[in-house]
Parts: sequence; structure tokens; C-alpha cells
Amino acid sequence: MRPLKDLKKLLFGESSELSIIIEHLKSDKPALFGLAVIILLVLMAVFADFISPYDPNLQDLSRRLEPPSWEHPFGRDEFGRDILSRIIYGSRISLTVGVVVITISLLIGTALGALSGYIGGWIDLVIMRVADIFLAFPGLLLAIGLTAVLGQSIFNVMAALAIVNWPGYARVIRSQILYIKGLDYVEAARIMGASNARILASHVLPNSFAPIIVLATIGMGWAILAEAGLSFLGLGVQPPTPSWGSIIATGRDFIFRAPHITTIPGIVLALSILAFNLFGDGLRDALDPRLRI
Amino acid sequence: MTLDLEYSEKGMQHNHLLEIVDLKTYFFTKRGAVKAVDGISFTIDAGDVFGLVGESGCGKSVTALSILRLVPDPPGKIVSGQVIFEGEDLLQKSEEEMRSIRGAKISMIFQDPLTSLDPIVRVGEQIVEAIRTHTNMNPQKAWEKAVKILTEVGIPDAEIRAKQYPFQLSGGMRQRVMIAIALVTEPRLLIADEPTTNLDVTIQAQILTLLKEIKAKTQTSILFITHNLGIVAWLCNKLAVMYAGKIVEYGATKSVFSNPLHPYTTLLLKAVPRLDIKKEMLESIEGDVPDLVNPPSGCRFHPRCPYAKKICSIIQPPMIEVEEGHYASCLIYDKEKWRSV
Amino acid sequence: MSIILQIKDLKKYFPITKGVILKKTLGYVKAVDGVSFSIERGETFGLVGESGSGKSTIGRLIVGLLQPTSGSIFFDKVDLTKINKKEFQNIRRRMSMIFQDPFTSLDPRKNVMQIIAEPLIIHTDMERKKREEIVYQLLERVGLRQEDAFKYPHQFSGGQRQRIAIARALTLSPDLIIADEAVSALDVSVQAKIINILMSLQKDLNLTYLFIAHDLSVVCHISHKVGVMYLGKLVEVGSKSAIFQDPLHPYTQALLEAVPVPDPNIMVAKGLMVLKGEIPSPINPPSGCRFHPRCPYATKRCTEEEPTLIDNGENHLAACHYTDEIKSKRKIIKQPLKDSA
Repeated sequence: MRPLKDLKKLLFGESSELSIIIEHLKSDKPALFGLAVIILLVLMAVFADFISPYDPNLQDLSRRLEPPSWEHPFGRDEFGRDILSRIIYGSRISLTVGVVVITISLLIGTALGALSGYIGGWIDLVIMRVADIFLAFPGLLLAIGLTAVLGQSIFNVMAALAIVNWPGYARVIRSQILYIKGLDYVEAARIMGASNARILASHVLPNSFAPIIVLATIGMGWAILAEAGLSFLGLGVQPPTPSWGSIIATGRDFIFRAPHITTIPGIVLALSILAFNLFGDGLRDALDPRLRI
Repeated sequence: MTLDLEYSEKGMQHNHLLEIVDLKTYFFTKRGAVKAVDGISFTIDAGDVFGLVGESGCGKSVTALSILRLVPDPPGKIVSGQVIFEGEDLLQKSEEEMRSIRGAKISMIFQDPLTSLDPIVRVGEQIVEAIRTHTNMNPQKAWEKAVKILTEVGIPDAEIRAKQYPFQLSGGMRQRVMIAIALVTEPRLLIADEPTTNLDVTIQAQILTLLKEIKAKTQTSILFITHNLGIVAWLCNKLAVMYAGKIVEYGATKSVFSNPLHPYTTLLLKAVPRLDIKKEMLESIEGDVPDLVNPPSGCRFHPRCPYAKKICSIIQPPMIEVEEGHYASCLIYDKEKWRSV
Repeated sequence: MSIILQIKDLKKYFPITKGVILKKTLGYVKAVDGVSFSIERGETFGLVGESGSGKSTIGRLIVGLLQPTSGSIFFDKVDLTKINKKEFQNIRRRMSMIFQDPFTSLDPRKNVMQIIAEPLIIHTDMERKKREEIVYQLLERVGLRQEDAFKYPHQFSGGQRQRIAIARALTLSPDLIIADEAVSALDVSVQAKIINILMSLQKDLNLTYLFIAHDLSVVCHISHKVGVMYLGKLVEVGSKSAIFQDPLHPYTQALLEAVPVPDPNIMVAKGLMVLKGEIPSPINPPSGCRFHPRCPYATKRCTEEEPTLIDNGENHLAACHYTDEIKSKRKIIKQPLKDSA
């Protein structure tokens, strides 16, 4: 019981927010579906070595472009590799990119947004104008430009995506902090003589995270899609490492002869993004105090 | 359980302006049905200023919304009862018919005029819109009428004020504009839901005086919803006290204040700090307002009532006429049952 | 008795600025404009006024949430405006504050134990066990149970939350508690309970309250001394009985007459006194006496010459040129307070 309680504390503070979320999600079927798909994805990525039926990089040129069969449910690609196994291993890339990008964005966004909102003044002005500049660029285009400059590698993809993604988090955190720092309980702490660090860490930040959790969940879907897009354009992972985007990209040349190479990873990709969005929507509804009666 | 007020002293059919019969409005939530209004009945006659008093969550505002059929649905729903206005049951009317009644025959003003006024439309135009929604007066004439009514509700320089936007007016002025919008169609009934709660005392006195003048000058009856017993004492001729979705006491203002019958009313009057009476300690009511998903059995006040007997948790007390026209829903006044246990 | 808090010619002007980098000051909101009063140990000083009077700003200046533009605040003979942060940190543990809205004044993610113990964590290095013991005692003092210590604010009603806030204000056994509209958000029956708790705590712990409120009846009930504010100025100060039975300033009189009392007989007899006009903006307050545009007795002198607080005997001070004339001209002669039945 204790570790579970601590985890709950860590994630949601000490209120019963988790139980409220669970209560809400119980009746929110789309969000439950989303959550199920996400759990499946995570399991797939973690246990890829055990569940993938074949070596994802094992080539068999004699059986290239083979359509789905009992033996290979998702068929084989242009080098005769098992697509199911490649998708399973590809989920590692997708999820890693998602988690890393969102974590970096969150760290940068929270730090800058908190500074901006809590201190205000010219610091706020500078940070928010920088954020505006980033937001003014089309995100994916900026990422393409950055990977072109930084060089082709999955790390650069993640760095580029985080750089285009943080301003959104900074903005949300800032507005949340602006609201919360004016609330009476923060003033009460100030009257008690609590230091700024204590007020920020103990009262303001923990109460600012609810919308960020929602944003991060939906952001996961965005990051996975962006990585697939960059890999599709050849800016992401290097062959032969499997990634959903690169599988789709290579299948492009055989779209009429072997449509399964593009469509099946495409469906998996779409389903994953849908799952994150549905779950994010559900979380938003669950955390919306107006919907609690 | 409905009030036996159908007949006047002479035994003749009495036509009430508004008669509410056993109205029930519930809110259906995940926790269960919140019985916000649970079987209330009262009547308002032409010329009445009727006070509906109670603490927060007692159902007084939901009653107002139910009369106008403006209860947010979902989760709210009028479950049963009748709202008879000028002889017709509003609950049977179509949405379209209701639209022609709202704002025309029954108007409403709210606690916060800033959120009920359109921020980007000049206040004069908002009054014109109210006029032209229900009549086909030409815009020029309607504007003149708008300026006239703004003067009547005590707005100085009405010509200039009419061209201003809500944010340019003070809180008291905005409430006057709301009253002007509500009255411009010469409604039979004005529902005022805590219209002075957000205002300063001196401004509140101005608005209350205005309402009293309106009452004297026009044919409009007023349903005044408030938690402030002082306002009721000054403004209303009849009142009903609500507790946890039910009316516990009902009667003429004078008799309710001089001889409060229900323990809740008695305690409430003793709990108010007063300027004119020195009290050492304020009387307070133990416990909290009950959860309306699972209200207490029997009398809803029994868990907090200092006089409660066992029977109070079993029998739901009916409305008992204790004095002429003065009703209370308390078993103390049912001598037989009260003695029997 | 000794003076615990003394305020001398306190001013707080908020600049109205335009632009962020090239700041331009367009004017000042004179929220508090030269206010002086003192509070004795163990008494309750009620500060009343309508919105914009500056009463809350004074509370915030005392606890250091705001820095005064000029003037001094002596707390136990130490001028808070002249000491450094470290010294202030030592003094601030001797005062605390209770806020209006118990739904925003408690951190929703902290349990009652953490909320009430926070001042101890900030100011002492007491061990956990001892802290918990103190919290349990405090809970008992405000009428909550020990089991409540590990619940979260949303599990309590408004009145219970306000008790938690009171317990938090008591944690460091302060000398002075500033209650800023501490009971205004509560329902009548709950409000009575909280007022009773505050009053009995004062007796037991020899607390001093600065009780800031807009509700005259509540201030009348709880205070020993009262100050009436209007547009950043103190217009009248005196003992409770002096202010409520023998008000000298026309504004105080108007405020008292504007409050509806829950007794229809009294209300019929005296009616509501209606003060003309609105509360002017504190950016450009009226010349001379700030109340003159609304004052029924105003003369030319009032528009030119600003009245100062003058002692009318027994520490009853009023800022009006015509206190003597008004005293003799008063229409309504108040009866002495009746004792409650």
C-alpha cells in the first residue's frame, strides 16, 4: 500500500485527484480505450525482445514484399524482413522519442514558464517573446531545419522536437502560475514568512500541473507523429534500425505492388496517436472542476 | 401536501398570478440525484413582493430557474409539479411559447449584472433589443423608450449612459440597467435572484428603494430571492423559508418575523448579528446543511434541530396552518402526533 | 492595557502605469491616504467600509504583503517600516491572517496536518511528533476532531474550512490576528458559529483582532473599537457603543441607516436611508471632504477644506466640520440597545 500511496503523491499531490480521475475514466469509454492502447504500446516496447516473432533485421531477399500470411501476419518488406517484428521494435523508437521529447519540453517549459509567471517583470517579457518566436515557426519545419543543421540522428530529432515544443508548456505553466500565485493560500504562506522557493515548490508548482499532464499526454501523440514524419523524410533514425516512419517511407516505392508495407504501420501509427489524444481528452475532462458535481 | 390556498376567505375562486404546486427539480449526477427542489408549493398574487429566503444550496435559485424553465439540462430536470402562471401550466408549454413568456411576462435579474450584460453592446441597444424581441416597435421609438426607462430606474444623464458599454458603468449602475431591461416589457412578474448581494450597503439601499418604487408604480409582482433576512423584512409582504430543498415556513412577513414557527426560522433569526439588539453570544445551528443526494429521512432539519424527537426522523411533516395564512412544516404543531411519542 | 499595534499617517498609493519597458506613471490610486489608529492588546478593532475604502489594503500593509508609500506601523513599539527582512521575519510570526474565502485560502493538495503545521515548519525546527501534538490541540480548540487531521480541504464544508484556517492562524500563538472579511463568505448559521469561536478564543488566549469587514452588524457584534473608512480615509473612530449608538460622521450615520434589520416593525418605522450617488474613484477623489458629493449636510466649506479627525470626547473621533450641528439636527434618535431576549 505504502509505495502505491507514495507514487500517487508524486504524480498527483496529496489530494484525491487520482481517485477523481479514476472515477471519471471508469465511465469514459473512449479514454479507457486510449489507455488500453497506450498500455499495450508500452508493453510492446518493453518486451520487444520476447514477443517479436523474428529478428527485425533478418533479411530474406527471396521472399521480399510477401503479403500478410499466417506465418507473417503483417507481411514482409522490400528486404524480406518481418514487418510485425519491425513494428514492435519500432514502438521503442516511437515511445522513446515521445517520452524524451515531452520530458525535455516539460523541463524547459516548466522552468522558464515558472520563472516567467512567478517573477514577472522584464524576465517574463523576454522569456515570453522568445517563446513567441518559436511558436511563430511551423513546428515540423523548424525541426527539419534543425536536424538539417545538427545532422541526421535520432538524438538530433529529439532535440529539435523538444526545442519546438517547449514554448507551449511554458505558456500553460506561466498562466497557471499567474492564477495560482494570486490565490489566498499562496498569500497565506507568504504572510507566514515562507521563502519564495518554498512557496513555489510546495504550493504553486504542485497546483499548476493538472493542465500540463493533459498537454503532455496529447503531446506524446504529436511527438510520435513528428518523429515518424522526420524519419519518413529520412531525417530520423538510420537504417536498418526500424521506426514506423521509416517503414512507411521505404514502402512508398512499392505502394501498388505491396500496399501492406505502408498501410499497416500507418494504421498502427494513427491508432497510437488517436489513443494518446483520447486519453488526453479524458484526462482533461476528469481534471476539469466544472464537470465535477 | 399542497397548500390549501385555492380559496380566499370568502370561499371564492382566487386567481393567483403564480402558483407553484409540488415542484421537484433534481440534478442527476454520478453520485445520484441531487434533490435541489423537492416538492415545494407557494403562490404569488398580483402586487405581492414575495421573499424566498434560505442559505446557500437550499434550492432557492433553482426554484427561480425552474419557473422560467432555465434549469441546465443535463444534469438538471424538472421531475414533477406544476408552475401555473396566469392560469396556465408553464411546464406544459413548448420551448417556443416559453421564449415569448421569458423577458416579456416574466423577467429575471441576477446577482452579477456584469455577466448578464453583453460586454460589447451599448446598454441602450441592449434595452432596444429587449423591446424589439417582444414587440415590433420601430428602432427610433424603441431607443427613446430605452432612454426613458433608464431615467426611470434612476440613471442620471440617460442619453449619454445609453451609448456606453457595461464596463463603463459602476456595479450599481449596471444593476439598474439590468432592472431597466427586465422592466421595459412591463412584465407581470420580476424574479430577482440576490440582486444586491454583490453591492455595497449604500448602493444596495438605492437598488432596494428602486425596487420598492417600481412595486408602488407598476403592476409588476416581485419574487425576491435572498439570504438576507433584513431585506425581506423591509421589502416583502409574504415570504417562504427554504431549507434543503423544502419550504419549512410560509406566511405574511409580519407574522413570520413576530412569531417564527419553524425551529429553523427561529434559530436563523437568532443567528444574525444585529445592529439594534445587543447579544452576548450568537445562537448557532449545530452541524451542516445536509447532502441533497441522501437527505435526512423525515424532517430534513431533524439532525440539527434542538427540539427533534424520534418521530421527526420518521414522518415527513406536512405544512400545517398554525395561524391564519401562516404555515410551518413541523410536527410540533401536530399536537396529536407530537404527544403520542 | 498596552498598545500592540499603532498606525501613523499610513499611505499606500498604487501607481497606474502604462508600458512594460518604458514605464510611464499615469496617476495613482490612493488606496490608503493618511490613516492613523491604534489597537490595544486583547481588544477587537473593527475596520468597516465599502469597496474601495482601503480597509483590506491596511491589513495587507500590516502583514507585509504590501509596502507602504509612507507612514509607520508600530507593532509592539517596533516600526515595521524601518526594520530589515530578517527582523521582520521574527516579528511576522507574532501575527497571522484569516482570509475571506475558505475555498481558496487552503492549499487543496495539503492535508489539514500539513496546513496547520506549516508555520511551525517555517519558523521552528520542532520535531514531527511535537508538531502533530500541537496540531491536534489546535483542532480541538476550533471544534474539529483529531481524525480530521489527515483529510483534505475538499472533504470539509465552508464553515469547517474556516475553522481550519483559524487553527492555522493560531499555530504560532500570535499576538495579533488580522481577519479580512473572515465570515463574509459564510452562511448565517455557520457565520454565527465562527464568530462565537473567534470571540471565545479571544477570551481564552488574550488575542487581539483587527477585524476587517463590510458587514456592520457583524462588526458591531464582535468589536470593542470601530474605525469607519471612506475612500482611503478614516472618517470616524470610537468605541463600539459610540459608533453604533451615537455616530457623528454623516457617512457613518448613512451606513447604519442603510442596513436593513430583520424586523418588519422597525423597518416600517425607520425605512432605509438612501445616500445619493456612487462611491467616487480613488484615483481622483473629491476635493475637500471626500464624502461631500454624497453628504446631505455638505456646504461650500466641505468642498474646499479637508476635515481632520477631531476628538469629541472619550476617544470618539470624527472627521467632519459640522459634527456639533449634525448632532443637534439628527432626525432619528437611536434608542439604547435592547438586550436580547
